[in-house]
Amino acid sequence: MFNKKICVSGLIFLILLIFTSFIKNETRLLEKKIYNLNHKISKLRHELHDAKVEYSYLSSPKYLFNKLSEFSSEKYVPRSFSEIYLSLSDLLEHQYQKTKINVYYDEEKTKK
Amino acid sequence: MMKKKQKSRIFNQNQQSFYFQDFYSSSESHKSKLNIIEDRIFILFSVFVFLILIFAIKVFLISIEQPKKLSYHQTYSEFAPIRRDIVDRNGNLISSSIQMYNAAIRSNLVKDKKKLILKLQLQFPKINTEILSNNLNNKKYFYFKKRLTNKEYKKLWLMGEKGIVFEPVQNRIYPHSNLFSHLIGQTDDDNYGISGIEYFFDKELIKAELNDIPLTLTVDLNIQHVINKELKKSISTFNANGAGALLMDADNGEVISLVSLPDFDLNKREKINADEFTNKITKGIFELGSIFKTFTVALALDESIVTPSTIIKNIPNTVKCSKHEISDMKKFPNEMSVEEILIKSSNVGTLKIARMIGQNKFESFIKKLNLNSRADLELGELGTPHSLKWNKCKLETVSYGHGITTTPLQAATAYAAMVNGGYYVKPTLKKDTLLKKKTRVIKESTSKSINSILRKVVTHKDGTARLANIFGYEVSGKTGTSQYYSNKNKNINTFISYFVSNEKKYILLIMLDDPKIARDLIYDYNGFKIKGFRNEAGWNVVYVAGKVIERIGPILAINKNNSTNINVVKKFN
Repeated sequence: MFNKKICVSGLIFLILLIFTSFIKNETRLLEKKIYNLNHKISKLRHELHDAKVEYSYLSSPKYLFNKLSEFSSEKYVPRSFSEIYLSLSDLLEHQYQKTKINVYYDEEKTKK
Repeated sequence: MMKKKQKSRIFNQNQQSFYFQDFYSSSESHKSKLNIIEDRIFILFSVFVFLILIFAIKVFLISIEQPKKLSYHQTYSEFAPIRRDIVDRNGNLISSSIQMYNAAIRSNLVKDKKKLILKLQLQFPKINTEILSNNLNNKKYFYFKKRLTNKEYKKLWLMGEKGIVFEPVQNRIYPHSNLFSHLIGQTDDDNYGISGIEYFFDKELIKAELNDIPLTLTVDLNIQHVINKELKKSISTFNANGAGALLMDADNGEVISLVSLPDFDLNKREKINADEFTNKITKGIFELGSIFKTFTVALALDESIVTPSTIIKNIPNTVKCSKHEISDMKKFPNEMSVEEILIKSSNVGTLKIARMIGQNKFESFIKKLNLNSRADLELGELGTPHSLKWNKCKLETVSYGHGITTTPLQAATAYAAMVNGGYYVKPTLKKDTLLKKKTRVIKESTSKSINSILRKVVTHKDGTARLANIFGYEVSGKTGTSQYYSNKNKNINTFISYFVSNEKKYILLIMLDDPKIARDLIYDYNGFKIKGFRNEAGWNVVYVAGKVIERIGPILAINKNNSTNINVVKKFN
């Protein structure tokens, strides 16, 4: 009664239609998951943001100095320039010079 | 009649017999019936196909539709910062947005107004009950308290009053309260910047696409704290009205610290109109005195009029210029080299050099150094010096820093040009990797000569800044003792120093507003312990600068190597 071609194309169309709706449904579920995850992420980001603000307050130099004076009797003084070694080579060079001076003094002592 | 009519309706002309089958077996009628059925099925089929087509189109349209972006701001309605964070050069948070609540009262929902007033008075004893009762009776909706603290929010919430409404609002918070008060500025109730960096970078701070990227400044939290602490100490030591400090990278103009005292808590939104809260470094306009002598000498050297060793002969004790009598604080020899004039800070000697230069050259040099035009920095609060009228004696007075006003920021920037090889670099507060525009103002050789003379100001036995000679940092600089432009009884002492820490050059300006003699302070001067007896810059601001350099030097040295600054202090006991 109907053309065969029309029937076949109709069938293919139906199969594709079902397939599309299935895919669409799966996508919807995935989107839901993504939405929930994003919600969680944003919540965590908010918490992180609050924690950062808290941290910056708790680690501010003024706060730390106050706490240090409250809980510790130890005094800290700035390091003098001669005690700062900015690289390992700086330190080694200083140590080498020190050793040289010590050796010289030792030799002088033995001579005496 | 009716029956006849009915009969005529039943009568069929095509009828061949009276048998029922015969009636249908007629070919023509059979065909027409089948056609009708076919047409009906076709219509039904078309309807179904049409419906399916509609559904298919809809499914297709849905499938090609882009899913809505589930971004942070859309999904999480509770909190989405509308202003970017501000951080220092090491990523330490300076300003951020947090969610707070405003407490409003909906009067028609309050059943017992007297009881509510009593309850609120118990919890908030400072409230004005008259205003509250008036508002309750006359207004439908009004704010009881804005930006509640957590404690206040809980107190109100626990009251369980139906008429109290909590409106969520975003508010700027400053974890370091007073530390950056003159730099960061504040925002209004609608979260728009109204002062400081919040105002200057307002458009950038509310850009939604940059929301996750903080605005990075050139300032350093730790150094700012150290300088702030030292300045506060110096205010009490020298009984000063206020103080200011500026630390700047001499090569790229990055402002590492900017302190102006007294300061105020940014988290408390109070109207601050008093003059003492003016940003002394960027908005304060002062006659900075002797620090201008450096510019006079630099120009004379640059124009090859003199060399550092040129002897200026016949320097009188006083010079009469129009009505004014210009003299030195101390008696100096009447023959001094250019170098000595700057080291000893002789007014008359500098005046003689300025006369050798001439007004036109001096005027254009002042313009080149941007000393007499509006200060330039990414802040709303900037000062404009008094316009300079080059009348009689102006050249003479300007040569040693009198009769000319400028902001400390401009003076420090000009000093950076003197010592960094001769380039004027615009000061900046925003950290970026872009190459800074440099304009040459003096020759490199002049800069070298000036460096060595300024070093002698600190190391020479007659130098005015001996207390700042801190080992390891090659400190150099020039002091300036002057009076307020509007009040000659008040002193403004300034010291602009230049020091090197781990091969980087820094300009440090320290200023004290009307310091007094610190009689209880014991100075370590040339190995001698002496009590305070003088009030010039060399005895207060230089001393403070020395203390500051001693403390920030190690931090700056280590910061350059991108390592943490945990090892810059050691245990004393």
